[in-house]
Amino acid sequence: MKNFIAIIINISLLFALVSVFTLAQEEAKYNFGSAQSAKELTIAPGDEVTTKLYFYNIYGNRITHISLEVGEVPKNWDVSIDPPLHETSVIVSGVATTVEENLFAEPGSDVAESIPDDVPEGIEYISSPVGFVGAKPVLIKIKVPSNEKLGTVANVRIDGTASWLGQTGTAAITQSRSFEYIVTIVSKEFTETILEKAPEKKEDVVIIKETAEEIGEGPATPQVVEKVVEKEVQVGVPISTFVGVIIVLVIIGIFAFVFMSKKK
Amino acid sequence: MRNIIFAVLSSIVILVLANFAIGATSEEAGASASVTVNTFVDITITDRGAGGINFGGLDPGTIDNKEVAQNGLGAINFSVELTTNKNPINVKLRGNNFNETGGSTIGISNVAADDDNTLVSGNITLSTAYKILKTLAPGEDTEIYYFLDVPAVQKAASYSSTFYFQGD
Repeated sequence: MKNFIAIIINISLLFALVSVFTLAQEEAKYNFGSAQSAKELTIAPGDEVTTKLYFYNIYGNRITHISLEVGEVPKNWDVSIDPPLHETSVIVSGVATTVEENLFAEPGSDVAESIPDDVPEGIEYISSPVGFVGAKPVLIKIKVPSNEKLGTVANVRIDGTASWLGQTGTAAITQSRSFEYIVTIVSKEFTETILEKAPEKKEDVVIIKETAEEIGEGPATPQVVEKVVEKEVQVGVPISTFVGVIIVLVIIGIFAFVFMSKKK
Repeated sequence: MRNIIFAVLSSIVILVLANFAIGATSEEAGASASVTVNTFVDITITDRGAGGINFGGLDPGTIDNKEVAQNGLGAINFSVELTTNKNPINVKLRGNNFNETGGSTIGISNVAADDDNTLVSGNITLSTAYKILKTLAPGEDTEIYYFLDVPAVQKAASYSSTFYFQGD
């Protein structure tokens, strides 16, 4: 009986060793998954807009270290990335080292049919073509100067680099990806003004009669000044106006009723 | 007198009904609707070798030296995962020059990349700027083969570089 147990234990150990060896020999898979939540942003002068990038690692078997930097931004604009670039201490195959990164994505990012009840801290589930993916968010904050001209359209680009530690080859493998935004500067409040320039209409052309001929300095050509018509356009009839009209009508009706009752 | 009052009230009722109609028309305003579908890009680089691109020990003046792990399959497999919703994806490659601690270099233009292991067609010469090797759809992948020429006059040393991959 003791021999039988010993054989079982030995076989189990053998299987465990083979498994560990197979795992160690597995080809390295460097996965870099990302999602960009918005590409076109609007912002008022002096304001700040925040958008998100998401990173995940579903198909890899190595930790993906991700560093982000601002690749393109208009002068005087302020773009920040949260979490910021920082040094992380890691131990690679027993050797301590540091890596500069904004975040890392561990292998085995969760893919679920629906958002789980217990979402781990620092993870957000986003709907992807393969289901809800547990991803790490990064906040991109864009602040524009208060004197930025309305209607300005500018490009902002965030450059991402994914790297993997423990590579011993002559050339290390790195993935890069750019995230581009088109930012439009708009007013905080909506206003619409039509500047109607109508020189062809007679009533819009004013001939100034005060010519040199009239004031006794000989013949001269009349001066023509274009009239610019500026009008505010109001779209729709406000409900408050309509309600007011109804109330007035009801009051008139009551007066009429009282008047008729007295006549009787 | 009653007739006059009735006429006035009737006119008022008609006006109210007319106002209703105008009001209803005015408030049927269109609202613009928009939606932005988030962009997902998910790429896996499978390294066939021992962590990185490795050409092993080479002699000066030799050409088309294969990456040590590419025997049949490429040194790298570039896979566009199904999570990706951007189509097509350009497979872009670039690299840094090979450097050694003494300051000597091997230019990155000595490296060729190919997707069919023939170096007859479809291959690119690497540079420090990205070049497109081919395009892929989500769910597709490609093998990437690397070949290195070592210049005839090249200092003996251990050189290192970084190879970059981009899918966009």
